[in-house]
Amino acid sequence: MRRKILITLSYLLLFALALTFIYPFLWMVSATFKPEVEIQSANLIPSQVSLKSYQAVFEKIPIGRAFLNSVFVSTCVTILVLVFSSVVGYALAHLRFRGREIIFSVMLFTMMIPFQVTLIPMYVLMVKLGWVNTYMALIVPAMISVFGIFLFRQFYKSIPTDLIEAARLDGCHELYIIFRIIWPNTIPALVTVGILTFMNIWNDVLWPIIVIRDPELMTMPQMVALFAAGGRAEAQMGTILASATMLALPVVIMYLFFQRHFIESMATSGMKG
Amino acid sequence: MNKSVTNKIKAKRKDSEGRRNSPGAQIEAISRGSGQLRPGKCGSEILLPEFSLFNRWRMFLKGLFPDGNRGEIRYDYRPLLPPITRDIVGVNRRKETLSNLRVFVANLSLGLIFLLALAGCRHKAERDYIEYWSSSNVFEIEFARKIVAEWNSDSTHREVRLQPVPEGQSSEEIVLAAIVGKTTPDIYSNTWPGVIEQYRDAGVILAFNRFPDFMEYLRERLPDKLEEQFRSSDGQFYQFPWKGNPVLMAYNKALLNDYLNSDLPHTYRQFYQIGEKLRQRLKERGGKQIWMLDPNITPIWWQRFFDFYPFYVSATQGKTFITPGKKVLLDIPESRRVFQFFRQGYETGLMPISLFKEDIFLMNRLVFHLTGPWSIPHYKKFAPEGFEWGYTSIPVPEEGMLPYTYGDAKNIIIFSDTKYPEDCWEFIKFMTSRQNDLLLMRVTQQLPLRKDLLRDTLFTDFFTEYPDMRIFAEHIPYIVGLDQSLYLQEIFDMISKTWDEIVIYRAKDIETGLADLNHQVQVQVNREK
Amino acid sequence: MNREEKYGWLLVSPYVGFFLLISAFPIIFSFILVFMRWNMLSPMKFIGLQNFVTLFQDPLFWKALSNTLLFLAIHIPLQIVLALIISALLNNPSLFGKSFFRGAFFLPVVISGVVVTILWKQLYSTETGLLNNLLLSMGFGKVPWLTSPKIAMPAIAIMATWKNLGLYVVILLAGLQNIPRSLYEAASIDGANKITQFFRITLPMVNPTLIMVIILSTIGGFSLFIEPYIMTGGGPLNSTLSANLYIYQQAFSFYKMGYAATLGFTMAGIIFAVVALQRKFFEREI
Repeated sequence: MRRKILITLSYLLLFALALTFIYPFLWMVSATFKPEVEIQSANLIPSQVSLKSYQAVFEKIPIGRAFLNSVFVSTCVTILVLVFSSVVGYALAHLRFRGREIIFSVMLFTMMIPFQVTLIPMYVLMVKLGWVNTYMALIVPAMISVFGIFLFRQFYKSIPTDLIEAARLDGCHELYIIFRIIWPNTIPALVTVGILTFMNIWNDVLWPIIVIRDPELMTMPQMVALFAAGGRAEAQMGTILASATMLALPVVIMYLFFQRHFIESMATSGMKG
Repeated sequence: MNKSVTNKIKAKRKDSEGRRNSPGAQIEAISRGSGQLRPGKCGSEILLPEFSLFNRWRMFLKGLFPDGNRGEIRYDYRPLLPPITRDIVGVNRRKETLSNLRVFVANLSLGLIFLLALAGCRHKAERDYIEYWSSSNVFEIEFARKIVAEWNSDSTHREVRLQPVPEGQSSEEIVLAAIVGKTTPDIYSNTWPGVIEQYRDAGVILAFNRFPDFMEYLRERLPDKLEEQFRSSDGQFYQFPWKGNPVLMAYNKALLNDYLNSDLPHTYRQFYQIGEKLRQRLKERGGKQIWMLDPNITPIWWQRFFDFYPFYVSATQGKTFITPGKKVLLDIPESRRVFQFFRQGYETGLMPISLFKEDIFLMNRLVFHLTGPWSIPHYKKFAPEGFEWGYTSIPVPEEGMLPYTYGDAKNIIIFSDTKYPEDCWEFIKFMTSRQNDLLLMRVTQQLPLRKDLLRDTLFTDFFTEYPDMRIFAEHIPYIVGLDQSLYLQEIFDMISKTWDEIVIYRAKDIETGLADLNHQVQVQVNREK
Repeated sequence: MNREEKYGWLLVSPYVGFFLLISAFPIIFSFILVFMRWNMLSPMKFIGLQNFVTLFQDPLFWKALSNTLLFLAIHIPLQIVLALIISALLNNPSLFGKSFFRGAFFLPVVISGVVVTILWKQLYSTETGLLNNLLLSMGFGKVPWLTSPKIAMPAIAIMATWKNLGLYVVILLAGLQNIPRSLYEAASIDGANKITQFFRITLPMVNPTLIMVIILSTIGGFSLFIEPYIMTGGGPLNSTLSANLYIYQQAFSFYKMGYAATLGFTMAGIIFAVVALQRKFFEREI
């Protein structure tokens, strides 16, 4: 009997907690369909459904373009990170060469340096290279992930040397070994690094705010953040919430499909999105 | 099984040691492993050098696992991996990826080519035209397009090409990045006067005094009183004063005239008399909270241009807070009265300590709102049915004072690395002509800094058509600009922080707060000497 | 040079190039900037240790630092306790709908901080916010969530906890699931009750995970930026001015690049110190 009460209690508690996590999002989505005067109510069902808020977002900011920018940048970065990080990770795991240990320790060291230190010189570098207001500024600084290298190295260490030896023996090129032998065998590593990179780049705001000023090149979170903080929403709460909803939507859809991968990737890495 | 495979490989390695590069050895090894080498497609491919990389490996595996691979290319290395590794790496979920690999590589190279193309784009050739950056405001872009098209239609003119500045956080940042990256245009038309001193100090902008007819043209257009505020500390003009937006008070007619049964306030005292009435009404009738005025409480330096600064220049009747002798005048009775005025508002709850995203003015919850002419199109668009509003000067400490206010001017500059300064100047004169100033007002509803706005018959129709603009135009002679300082942003940041302390949250009293502020700003100003 | 040597260097060369451009150059440049005054427009000027002198006399820097520490002091314990409770509840093997709950708690983790911040800014609004409407309808007064100097930072800390909790629940859950059942069975036989079991078995066994959670949320907490940037701009009375927001303002509002670099270096040192202290403290305790 006592056990039953305990179990019921824990269900109630979990439900209450889950509600506090889901309700605000539901409210946000419903608020975007409400007329401006109804937004302050906690009710989830609008008295009349209106698409005005969304229409206003599209009129005021090039959010479609921002979405494409974000997709382009995040995809490019993810692919580049996967390619370069796995190549380097492979070299560190399976090739013996002088300086390998030094490179590895340098890498671990740079992993510990907070971005506050490099933020300003990075901006100056971007300005000097003329990359401010180009995709380059968003892609190049992110195209190798030290964390990705580290993760790949750990994964690749578990691949038996014999497999690689066999391939080499057969005259296979090292790149061929990486992309056609190791990659197919380490899909989880690719998924993990891929999801983490994609999420990080997709959600990053500080760096785009610093290097991108052209609305045509802005990423989606940046555009929505500036839209919410600035005056262009013309003080229409529904419009701001609609832009936020559109920003959340792609990730939520991906999350619904690949929930397990998301959770496992982020948990194994312990990194924040 | 795994062990045996491993041994097989080891044996073979020994076998082919030293003969790695000879294809014969490979084929030999393969055939030995499989027992036989199947002829046909695979066998012929193996001889083609360009396929060798793929196929040698394929053949090798075929040799190892003759049952697993019949004809199809399948890179099945599963048996090679020990069970634990197999679990870790999840062998089973990899097949689609492989088939997409080629597509993926193609996409990757496309992406890289695109990136390189982008990188290549930014190198500009020497330009033989004038590059002109306008503001990013939709209406201003429209205006700029029109005048540029007209200018270019005359073939004797040097061509002007327009590029609107991207609207990010502030256009100053964009111009700064352009200066540092040496990608400045020739003309930029939306310069906030507060940064002129920095640009001048860095030597990136031209002095207009080099053009012989400059002073004459300027004096003909600009109201006399405004001339001095745009002169830089070395006595020259580095900006062409273009347009200005006086900060005034919008008011809700229904609330002020009907609900409060009051007239427009001219002085601080009248303002608070109405405030007192508002408190009584709210007490009698209840209902939603209504406020007198809603200055933005965000502690961002430029927010003070819309509460503290207009009130300061109106209290001092047109004086800014740094004297020509670099003395800071923030701790003077006029300044104290301004701080007191706002402090009282927050103290009595007549001004909200709250951040709103909604427009509470249009929601009938606000009597007054500090704003510029840009609010006219906004209210026209969003005002609910029957909502009536008007504009009035900001209140002054004493009856009979003149309606000074902050002007929020935006001016035109020429960058010093232009190759065609004379053509730039001709273009600037063209874009600030009488005709084009009228066009500016019509298209953008912003006011040119022109002395004859209300007298020149050319503009009469416009002000009949847009009566709301008239009151802003009347304030043009009374607008006050900014001090010339290298550290204006920081100084306004200090003011903003003090504002937070002594006005909004009242953590300090006004006397000590202003004495501290005055000292801090004086230290900052002294750094320039 | 043998083959492996050649390929080794060839394959790590992208990283070496990347390191020189994106890591080494900025770090060295940043270090040089520490001794300079520079507004990007005028040439750099060497000023020795003046930036550090300014820093030690800058009340706002210390304010920003103490704000960040206050944020951590609320955020981390709250997060740990809630994450422990939830993961302990979820660890029940017979629990129905586990993946639903896990998915729900994890939702804010994947959603952009911008969305979460915009949403909570509305929830927290004093006059029109959902939370205050709720409080009013329950008969309480309004809480000035983001406009009171005392409440604003705790309010942001609560929001950050809400955003990140799911991640730590999942990490802790993984830690809990690694504890062998047999330990609990043995303890029950010895007559230990649930509470003793929790303190004697569960807590020591998840301690390494807890340390990781603490360190991760410390580093995350030190990079607090977008929340105050959107919600408060650092106000009221600088109470939500985080270290990162302050660096951002110094660099990109006032173009004091040298001073901002000094702030960055100092913050990095402080983060190192705090993490090292946490390691030392928690690895011994419990």
